[in-house]
Amino acid sequence: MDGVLQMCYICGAPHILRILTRKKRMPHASLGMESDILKNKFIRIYNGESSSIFRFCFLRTSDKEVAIDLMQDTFMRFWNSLSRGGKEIRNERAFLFAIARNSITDWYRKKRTLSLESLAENSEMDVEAFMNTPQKEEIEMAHEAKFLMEKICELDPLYQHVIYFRFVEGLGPKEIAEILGESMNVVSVRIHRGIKQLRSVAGYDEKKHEK
Amino acid sequence: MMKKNMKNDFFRKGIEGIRNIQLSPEERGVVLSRLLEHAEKHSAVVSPWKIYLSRFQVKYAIVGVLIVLFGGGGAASAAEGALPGDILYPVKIYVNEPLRKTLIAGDVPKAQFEAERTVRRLEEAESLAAQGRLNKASAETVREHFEKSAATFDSVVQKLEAKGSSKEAVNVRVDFEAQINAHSQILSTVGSAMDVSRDNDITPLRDAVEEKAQKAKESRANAVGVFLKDFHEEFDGRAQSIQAIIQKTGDRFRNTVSATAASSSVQNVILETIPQTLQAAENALRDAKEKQNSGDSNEAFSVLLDSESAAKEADISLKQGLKFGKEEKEKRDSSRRGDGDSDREDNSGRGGD
Repeated sequence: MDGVLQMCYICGAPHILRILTRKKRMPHASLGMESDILKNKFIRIYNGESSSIFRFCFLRTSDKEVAIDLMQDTFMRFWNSLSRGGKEIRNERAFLFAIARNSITDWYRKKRTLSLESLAENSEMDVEAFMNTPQKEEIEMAHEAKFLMEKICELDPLYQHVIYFRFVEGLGPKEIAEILGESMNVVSVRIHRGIKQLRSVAGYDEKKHEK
Repeated sequence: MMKKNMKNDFFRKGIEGIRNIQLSPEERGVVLSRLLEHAEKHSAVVSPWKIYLSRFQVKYAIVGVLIVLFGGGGAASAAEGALPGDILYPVKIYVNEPLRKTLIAGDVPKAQFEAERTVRRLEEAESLAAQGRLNKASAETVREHFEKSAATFDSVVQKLEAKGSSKEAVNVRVDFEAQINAHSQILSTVGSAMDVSRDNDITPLRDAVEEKAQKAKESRANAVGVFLKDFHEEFDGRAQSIQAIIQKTGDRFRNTVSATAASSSVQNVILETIPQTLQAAENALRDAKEKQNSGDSNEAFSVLLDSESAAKEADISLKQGLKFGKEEKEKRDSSRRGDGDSDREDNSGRGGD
């Protein structure tokens, strides 16, 4: 074994850098490469997911500027997790939605000027609901989209997220469960009950109309 | 079951409508640039153990490219040299260029920037052609961005003209016309030299550029017609500067082109057009002077600008022709080196066996 203890100039800690290597290798070059690969991955994920994350933030805050800030904050936190390494991110999409959800919760908490007491009583329910602030900046939405969003907002807060993630973002129960921190069974039941409630409030239930 | 229950047109339209809530590519680009800045400041810290363990993984094959892309100045500066199809091309289009635009003040610099941006798209197509990477898909990307930038250029110059900045507007239009003409000629040559196949069809791009070249000429002629009175005093000075461009381009052509052999038939055709264009510029200049002497100063100035456009076109064709040859040569050298390396590997492999 030809290991040599050297100081890594990236993190400053001593590492055995040459174990089992035949030639002397420069650690810094490899570290730079790893960082570049991460950036490449990050850009790819951003290009694929930024629209969904923005939409989610916008529908929760009704404010385009705030939604852009929250989206940016979400991806910054995502980069921090990605670059720190540690636990592998298995589903980037679900992970991003989970961060976005937390960012939105933080934003609501900062925004509320209620007393701590009332915050404790009401915040959870408020934060769970979609579009519970008056529309500040209008993004043009088709009539059908506005109607559907209104109906989703009328659902029990427990069902709003699962219905949104399932039908608008096309996520599966497993991914939704990861985002909400619930079990897959719970999510499946909520989807089922949510659909039932949505059919009722939106009039999508044709049989009911026929009656 | 769920899908069956939700099979409702109204519901489907609602879902599609919600999915249409999106940021524009420019807005997304601006956020990405901020995020990349953040990523630069908070670079990844990775254990050297991890590096060692993953050393043999395939992903390292792209490391060389990424070092070039991200090294020295970050992604934004690396993106400046990106071409359609490259991973950083969207950063160049949606981050770098809009950011540069926001830093520009004044209508004339804005119009010049839009002209430069439009021409950049055509230079990208030519670079792709020189590297053998121009195909239907990349040509389509170039065409879309070219048409968008050209339309923006027109609207900026029209605003300039509406404000009464006649001389500046005409000057910007003459330069733009010369650039578009030169690149239209080059793309036409490139298109004719390419193998005719469905995947290699760049006709829509070629047609779009030709059409724009024609319109640029007409727009410049119309603009000059309106503002002729502003130019009468500067005929002599302008004629002298055109003569200087013709002289300089002619000398450079003789010195550089005659001394070196063309790298390909495409470069040869591009360079062959230069003496003709210079001759056209000289003829127009002579005509303009004759008309000026005979007292027809309006017509004289119009012909003088034809001459100026042709002289500048020759200069641009020369620069682009030389650049095209250089890029072709680099591409050939790198493929030859690649072949040499693989030959050596093959030989050493056989020797080992």
